[in-house]
Amino acid sequence: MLLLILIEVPSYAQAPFSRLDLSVRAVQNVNRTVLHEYWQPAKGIKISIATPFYAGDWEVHFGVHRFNASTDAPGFGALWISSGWGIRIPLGDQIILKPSVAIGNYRMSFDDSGTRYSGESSESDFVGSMGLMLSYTIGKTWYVFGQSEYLRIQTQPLMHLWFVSAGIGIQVPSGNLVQTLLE
Amino acid sequence: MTCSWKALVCLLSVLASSVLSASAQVLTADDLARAGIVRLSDLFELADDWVGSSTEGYHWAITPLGTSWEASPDWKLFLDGHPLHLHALNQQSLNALPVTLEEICEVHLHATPVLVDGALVHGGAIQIHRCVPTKGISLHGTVSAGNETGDPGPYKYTNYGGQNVDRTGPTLHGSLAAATTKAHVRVQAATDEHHATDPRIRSRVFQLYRGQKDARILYRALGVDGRWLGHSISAGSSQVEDLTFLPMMGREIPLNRESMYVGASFSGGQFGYSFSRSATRLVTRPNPDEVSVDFTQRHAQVRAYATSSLANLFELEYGVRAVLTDATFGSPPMRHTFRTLRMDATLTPGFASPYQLQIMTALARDNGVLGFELFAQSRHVRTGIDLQLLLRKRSLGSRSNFSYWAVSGFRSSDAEIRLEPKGVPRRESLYAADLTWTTGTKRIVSVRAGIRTYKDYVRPYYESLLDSTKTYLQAVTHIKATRGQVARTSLRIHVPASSTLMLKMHSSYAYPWSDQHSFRDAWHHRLLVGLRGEFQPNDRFSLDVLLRYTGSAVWHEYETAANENPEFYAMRLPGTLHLHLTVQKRLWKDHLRLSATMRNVLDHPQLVHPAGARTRSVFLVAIRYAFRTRSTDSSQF
Repeated sequence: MLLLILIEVPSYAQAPFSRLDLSVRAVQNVNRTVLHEYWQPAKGIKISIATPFYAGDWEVHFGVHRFNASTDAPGFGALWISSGWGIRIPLGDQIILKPSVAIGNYRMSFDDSGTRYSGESSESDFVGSMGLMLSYTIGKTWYVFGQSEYLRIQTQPLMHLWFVSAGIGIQVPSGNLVQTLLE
Repeated sequence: MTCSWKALVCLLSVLASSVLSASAQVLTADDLARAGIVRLSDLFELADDWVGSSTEGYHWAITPLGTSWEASPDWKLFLDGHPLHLHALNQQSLNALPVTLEEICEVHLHATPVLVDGALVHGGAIQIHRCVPTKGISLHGTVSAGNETGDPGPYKYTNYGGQNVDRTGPTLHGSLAAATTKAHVRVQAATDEHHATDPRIRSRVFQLYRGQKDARILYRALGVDGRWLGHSISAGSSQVEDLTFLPMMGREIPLNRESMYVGASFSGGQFGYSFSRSATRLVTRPNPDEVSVDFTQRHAQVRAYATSSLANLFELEYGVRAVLTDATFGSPPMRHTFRTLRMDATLTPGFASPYQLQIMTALARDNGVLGFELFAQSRHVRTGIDLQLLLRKRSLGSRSNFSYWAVSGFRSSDAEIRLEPKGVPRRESLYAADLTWTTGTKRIVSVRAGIRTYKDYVRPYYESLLDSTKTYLQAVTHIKATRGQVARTSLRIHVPASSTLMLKMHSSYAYPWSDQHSFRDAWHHRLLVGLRGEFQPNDRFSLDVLLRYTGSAVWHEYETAANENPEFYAMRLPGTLHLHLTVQKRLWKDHLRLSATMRNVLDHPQLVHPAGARTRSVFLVAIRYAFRTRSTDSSQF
């Protein structure tokens, strides 16, 4: 669907790597699955960098959040690093809708104190995600936004996590050095 | 190509190379990077006509569809034209080679017979051609790591979690080169790791060390190569630990596999030489069951050749090759030697014509047994029709495979090997004919059909019997002379769908028939269909999509095991459809290439061997780097 939007609205193309969108947000897991019978989600934070690609935006995300132990299982902190692609759809002068997809690694570090079993104290698994962000531009460079995001972590059984987040971002020119690195 | 002497010889070389390349699938370094290839065995996923199997996902037994990897792995590997005889006991793993990925410029995959350096390779060939370093000092390498899906993750602390499936890699390849326009020297190093932790093989692997050690395959390699005054030399050494599945044992054996090769060659004017030596040593690691499969195989050969023009009508290349193969095995260790002296002559027309022809004849003396080979290839440029004919009658020892060493007395603890009571024929016979029609330059259509007839062809036939008291199989290996035919057909279509999207489709089908089940049962796969889409909006970014269907596989040797334990073993494996995706981006001019690959996106739990691991989706990230001192040469990265 993103590709269709892209084909239908070629005017959204921007000069590749011409600027950087830096954003930070607070994230909260909101759904409940079998995972939540054992762990309770705590708040987390996510930092994102996005830049115009040949089409749409290229994004890199670094997120951390925590699941507190609620039964015998140890709590764990999760580091989520992913790279993805999204497209900005203007809904007026100041409002932008941005659907996106991303893939990456989801690393879980288990609390040693709570680990009753031998074995690794951390696990890394593949994660795929889809998100929908709505942002409101303030002035020339700043914007605030909210996002809903679905994470599918390829464990066995699968981990399905829905997150909502809110944050603030800034758009800055890339500069020659960054453009040289990215081009 | 530098042609400093006769223009005629240059023209002939071009004609000869075009004849040879007509039947090859060529993969460039860019193809490998865009497809996210991080291990040599990954090449097999891009190979149109090759199939393979693995028990743990690291060592892949591969072969052209229509030949048999377990019974008779007759394909050969060449590195810059030098043959690498690094197989041992019919086990040859591309990932065990002392070759780093970043050096590779092109890989030629031949599913049909081909002539390489005067040698007739009748079972297909993989030719790896390394790049000649550009002037100055250069540093190339790859860093990659991946993760297989299916981990229990946090569920391992709950009742829902299964057993852990560990990561793949990290895989590190690097090379450092210094070069002038006439000479270069280059050193390479590589390391790799693979964890054999799939639940299906875990209990069998666990038994190797009674849980006192992880089942982790470690690979280390070093290499060096150089050229000076027209001479080129290369050498490499690798070590792989820790386990290898041997069909004759019916389970993994804890082994250190040490491989090495040395090669040298010179080509100038009307004569040249080539020399190569390679060796593989299997050393059994200490294990509770005290199983031992110690085996060493060495192979050395030297060839000298000359070319001459016959009245400007024909070009004749004639050469002589001496081959010494020996193996050490048994307790106490015994050394067995096999010697070959082979003379060959290759005739090609010496005039420009739409009709190209190449005829090779060879006479060989293999440990006192006379044999001969005849190979003819003709191609009509205008119609695109290519015809290959092959006749080969040589002794079993010329293939220096597991069957030959078994006949020579190789035995291993726990492995029951039975020889055919009638003995081994003095000579094996192979007759083959392949007809190919190719048309188009941008839109390419290629259709091939061929038939091979084997007579007195000696091969192992395995019977895997279940040992219900343990987690592994009891196997009986029969060494038999077989006869039969294999027919094969393939279709290849390349269509540029747009200026940025190339579609490549291929399909292959092979059908064996014989009145001997030991011949028919050696072919596990019969159908292969693939589609590759290469989306390249510019030279900085690409998206590669690979769809590959492998037809159902039948493993008759597992019939007994499958009857006794149908929940674990299967005689018939279903066909599988795989989708691979790779996104690749150049960064920092041409210094970095970042790629992310998802293999088996559809997440089909895949079983490619009845006794093997059930693998799932794999996610891989790779960074390729290239740095070099300032030079006027164009970039090779």
